[in-house]
Amino acid sequence: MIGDDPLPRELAPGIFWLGGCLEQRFQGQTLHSYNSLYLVAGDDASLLVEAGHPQDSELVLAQLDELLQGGVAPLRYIFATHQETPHAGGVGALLRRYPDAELCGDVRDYHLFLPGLAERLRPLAPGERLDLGATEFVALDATIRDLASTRWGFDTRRRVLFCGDGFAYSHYHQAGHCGMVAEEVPELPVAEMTALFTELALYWTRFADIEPYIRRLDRVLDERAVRLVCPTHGLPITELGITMPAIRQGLRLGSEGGARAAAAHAAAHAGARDRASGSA
Amino acid sequence: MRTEGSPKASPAQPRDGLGDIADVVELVPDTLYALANPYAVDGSVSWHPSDVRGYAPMNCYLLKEGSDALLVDSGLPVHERSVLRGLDELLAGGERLSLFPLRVGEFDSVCNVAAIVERFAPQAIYALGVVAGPGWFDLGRGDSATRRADLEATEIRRVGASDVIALGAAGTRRVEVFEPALRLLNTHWVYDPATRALLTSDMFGHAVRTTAAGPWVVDVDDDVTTQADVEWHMLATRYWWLRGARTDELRRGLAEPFERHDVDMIAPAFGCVIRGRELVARHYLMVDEVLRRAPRLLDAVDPRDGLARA
Repeated sequence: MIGDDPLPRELAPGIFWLGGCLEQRFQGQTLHSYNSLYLVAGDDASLLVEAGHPQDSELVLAQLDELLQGGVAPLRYIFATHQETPHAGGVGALLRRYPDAELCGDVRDYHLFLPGLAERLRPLAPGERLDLGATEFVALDATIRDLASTRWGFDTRRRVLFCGDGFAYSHYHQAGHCGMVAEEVPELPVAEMTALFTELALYWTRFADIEPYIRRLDRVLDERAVRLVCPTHGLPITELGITMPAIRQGLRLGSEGGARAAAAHAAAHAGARDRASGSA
Repeated sequence: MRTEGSPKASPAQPRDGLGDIADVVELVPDTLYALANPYAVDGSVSWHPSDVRGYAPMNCYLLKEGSDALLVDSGLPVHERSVLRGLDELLAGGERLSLFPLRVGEFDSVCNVAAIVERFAPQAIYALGVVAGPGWFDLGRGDSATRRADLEATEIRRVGASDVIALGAAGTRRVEVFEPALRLLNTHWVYDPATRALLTSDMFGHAVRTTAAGPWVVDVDDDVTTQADVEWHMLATRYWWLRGARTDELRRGLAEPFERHDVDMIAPAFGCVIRGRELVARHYLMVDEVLRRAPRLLDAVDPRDGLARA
């Protein structure tokens, strides 16, 4: 986590945003990207989406303690979207802190990563559900992913999509974007930032035809009637009609290899904004 | 136990994790070693296709030059004791150790960094520029404060997309590190001119064995890998996205290090080491053939589509 921590934040009743920012240098700029986790509270049990970046483990444990001591239902499940350390690096610390919790999702590999904790792995295939009490968490196939083992998740009551590396984009810490949802920072160039993140972290997209992925993404959002999108690296999206066009544009830009030009464009945006706000 | 890639005299019995039967494989005497720690390939590991059966090693490579030693990757936590034991043996001369995890965001590359730092107090960790601090290597095992303090006491040296790590008192062994064209996540490959070894991280990890005893080096007289094996290994695991992809640039990028260097050995992070110029050429061509065929394959957009062995 860099700087003051604006999280946890309740995005919808019982949907809590946790985690911290990762500072990145790109072409002389300092950007932030979230390494977010989300606590999904039901009436009987809670589920944590993602296990966090290893450097944030103590921060995340403190955020979780705050919520759980405040009356949120006990943590029973940890759902790491995939086995990269920015998504799953905190799983060992979490399983040790919360002895009643299980790690679920595609749990291959973890018997080698977590010796002694292998009995607490619970496979959760796409389409399978966990009953949290008055809501269910459904594992989904991932549309935008790096590791093939990636799963997305969906909360049925609040209609929230948890999409791992999907909808990933950086933001500007100095401009006060940390802890904000996408629609609260309309000046953030989401398309350009999405393209930049795509170039940095979703390298394969520059070799693929991105259009089928975008169509499938739209289909998932439509079929599930998604109201809130909770990405691991981007700011949460509360108004899909406002932000989705920029996400689509960013995926296309990144896939077309236009991200460097996009970053220069974003830097120009940021410079103008910072000068206007006096924070540059 | 130290071997030269040959079967052990007393193969250990396979068991879950296989944590205590590692080999120290001498690839080039006094110069390059593999700490080869086997695991079962049984559908429980995502970097092998779910229907492939056998055993493979998770490899760390130790490059030794005079009083310097560079450990590439750190192995799996289930192998922590054997990795440390192997390093105890290989660093008995008091060599100054540095670490270089080739994929900083993946468990198999970084998981034992903290344990190695605690035991050997290395002089530096080489890491991709995105790494902001030692917290990247703190996977939450053992006492947190002590572990973080040990890590914070270790210098992190940032490595660019194309760089050199100099080993030896005079810095004469210049190990080339570079970002490969064919990668999934942030990755470096390493070329060591002294041994003509190309360390390829998550690529070329397709060679597995039928027993937990190895051997963990494939030579020309015992290579049973087929073109179909290589294709299935790539497309059913980390390189799923090649289906239907544009691969011309990737083919040129794959060829570049093989054209620029004499490569006598391909040393992947997992799977057997591929040794010998003839065998290196064969396996390079098999990967290139996958790239050549990939654009014509069914698109990879839906993870449920097309994942059947050809």
